[in-house]
Amino acid sequence: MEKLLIELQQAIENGETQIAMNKTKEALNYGIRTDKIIQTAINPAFKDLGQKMFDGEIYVTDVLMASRAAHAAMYVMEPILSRSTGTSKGIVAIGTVAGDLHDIGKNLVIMMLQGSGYTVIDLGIDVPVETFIEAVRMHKPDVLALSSLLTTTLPELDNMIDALEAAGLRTQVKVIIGGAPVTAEYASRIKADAYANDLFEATEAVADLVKNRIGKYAV
Amino acid sequence: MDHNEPRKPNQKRLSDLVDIKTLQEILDAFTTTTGLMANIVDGEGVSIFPRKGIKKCCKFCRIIYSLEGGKNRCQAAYKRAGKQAALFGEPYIFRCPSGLIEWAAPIVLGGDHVGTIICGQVLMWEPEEFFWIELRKMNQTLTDDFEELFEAVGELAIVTGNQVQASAYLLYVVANYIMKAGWENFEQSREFARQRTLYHAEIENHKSREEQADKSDRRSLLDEDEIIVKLQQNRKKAKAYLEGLISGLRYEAHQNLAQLRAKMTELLVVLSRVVDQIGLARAPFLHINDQAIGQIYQTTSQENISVITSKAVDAYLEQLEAAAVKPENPNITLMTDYIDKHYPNNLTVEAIADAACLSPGYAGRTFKEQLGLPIMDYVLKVRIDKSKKLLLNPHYQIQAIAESVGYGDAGYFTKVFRKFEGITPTQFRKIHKR
Repeated sequence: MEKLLIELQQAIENGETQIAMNKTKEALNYGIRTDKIIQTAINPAFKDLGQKMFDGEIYVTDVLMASRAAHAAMYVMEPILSRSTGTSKGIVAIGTVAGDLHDIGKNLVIMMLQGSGYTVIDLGIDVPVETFIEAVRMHKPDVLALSSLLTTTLPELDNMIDALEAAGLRTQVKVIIGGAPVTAEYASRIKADAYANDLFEATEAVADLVKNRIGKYAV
Repeated sequence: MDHNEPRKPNQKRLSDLVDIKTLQEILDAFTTTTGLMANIVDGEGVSIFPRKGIKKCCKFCRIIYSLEGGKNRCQAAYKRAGKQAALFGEPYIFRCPSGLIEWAAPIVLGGDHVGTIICGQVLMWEPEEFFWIELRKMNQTLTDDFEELFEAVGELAIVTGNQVQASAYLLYVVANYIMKAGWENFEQSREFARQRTLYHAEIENHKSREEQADKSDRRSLLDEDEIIVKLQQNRKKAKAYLEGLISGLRYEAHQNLAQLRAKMTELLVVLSRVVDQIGLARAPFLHINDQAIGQIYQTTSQENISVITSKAVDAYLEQLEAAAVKPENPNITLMTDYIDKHYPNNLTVEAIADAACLSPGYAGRTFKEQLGLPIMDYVLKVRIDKSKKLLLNPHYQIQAIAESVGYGDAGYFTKVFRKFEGITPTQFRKIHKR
């Protein structure tokens, strides 16, 4: 069973979509739980890829291929995930802040959240403050997830929280932030509710926020 | 209908700066070399090429494009990719909303993102089970009939990640080339605008002058004596004067191409004569003229002719400045330095040529070309000049002076001195005695 999950992780890292699909099917047939598949195969694959990307060992094309393979694995698990959760665990609105166009990371978080049974409202990339505010008013999400991948757009996160306060919406919604230049200290300084460093942390942190718990990712 | 978006005033358009046919040729060359589709879109993601001209799309994309909402989705994706690429100033590889792999290279002119080269429309994998699922998911908002689209997948190229990376890099090089060309054109059109302003100012000037002056007493603008004086002023003043001349001559040409060519040519010829009178070697200036005059007769744009002349004038001023500062040839400097240092010793042409690592024959020819006299005459000149300084000091004996400038014998020194100066050292000393 362990071997199967290692092979799945490998397939995702190599961007081998068909193999990733088959291994996921096999894993499910063996009775491996979806959360275990996510935690021990998919999440480590992206941690690995992130590091390799950072070290310059792989290119964007490799990440594109890998994220496709991961999507295929999630696709196989989708019916089970939605069956096991039945109703939605909560609503999460997510987007990258104005000026920021990165979406691979955000899409993976969405995939993870959807896979974990949340209703996700994807506001897209390069999202202006007004759109976030509008979405909070309209959809009343439990959590607002903001991402910034650039140091230049980091202050937008701060602006976003100020804008929520100005609109009188800050108490209605929990805010989690993430992205390469974001740190726990920064999150605490701008008075966000949580900070997540990777996909899995994001899912865990959202779970805590939705249940109104002060979890280990709270700031 | 493609350009229905309102455009910001003053926004630079790529198609205004670089000839659209040239762009098309560049892309065609790229497509032929790589076998990949390529297109250029503006900042809004809209192709800059007329619809008829586009063969920049694969069948798959043409189907998507023709579906309701498809065109807008493609353009939005290209706009976004372009923005991303411009933000980082490097190629951006992405998956388009319909599921294909594409990449974008930004074209940035003077800080403005004016366009994006889009390339790709390929797959990086053989279509497997998940691909068909993906395609349905990604395109279900556009259609529910996938037969034709699935069939078109068969025509898509399948390339490796490395090939994508490599051609993205190549595309980036192409974009840089276009940027460079565009920037030069942009600069040139700014120069045209500047020239136009000068030109109009000069017309006004002339009008008011003509109103006052007696028309029968009109002189040519090209006064060689005046030019000589102006050329020897500082470069900024000389440039301002010559630019004024160019504008004036342009006015005199009355928008007549042949006359304008003749007048600008005349200006350049007069300039070359003037530098000759100043006493500079003509060769480099004649070279400037050859080039500029050739160009003047090649272009049919009057503005271009002014710009070419103005550039030639710049080249003149640069050359003048260089000539004033130092001999152009570093070999000559090496030799004159050697002479200045060793004139009290027994000097030979071989030793001097050796100082510049040249053969004596070649050194002699270059020396004469550049400084206008043979090497040994120059040595003589240096020795005589030094001795003249020493002669002004009455404490020095003629014999001592002769020795200190490299002549062991006072008699021989006197003979050389008289030949060179027309008087003997003693007479020289007497004349210059205070």
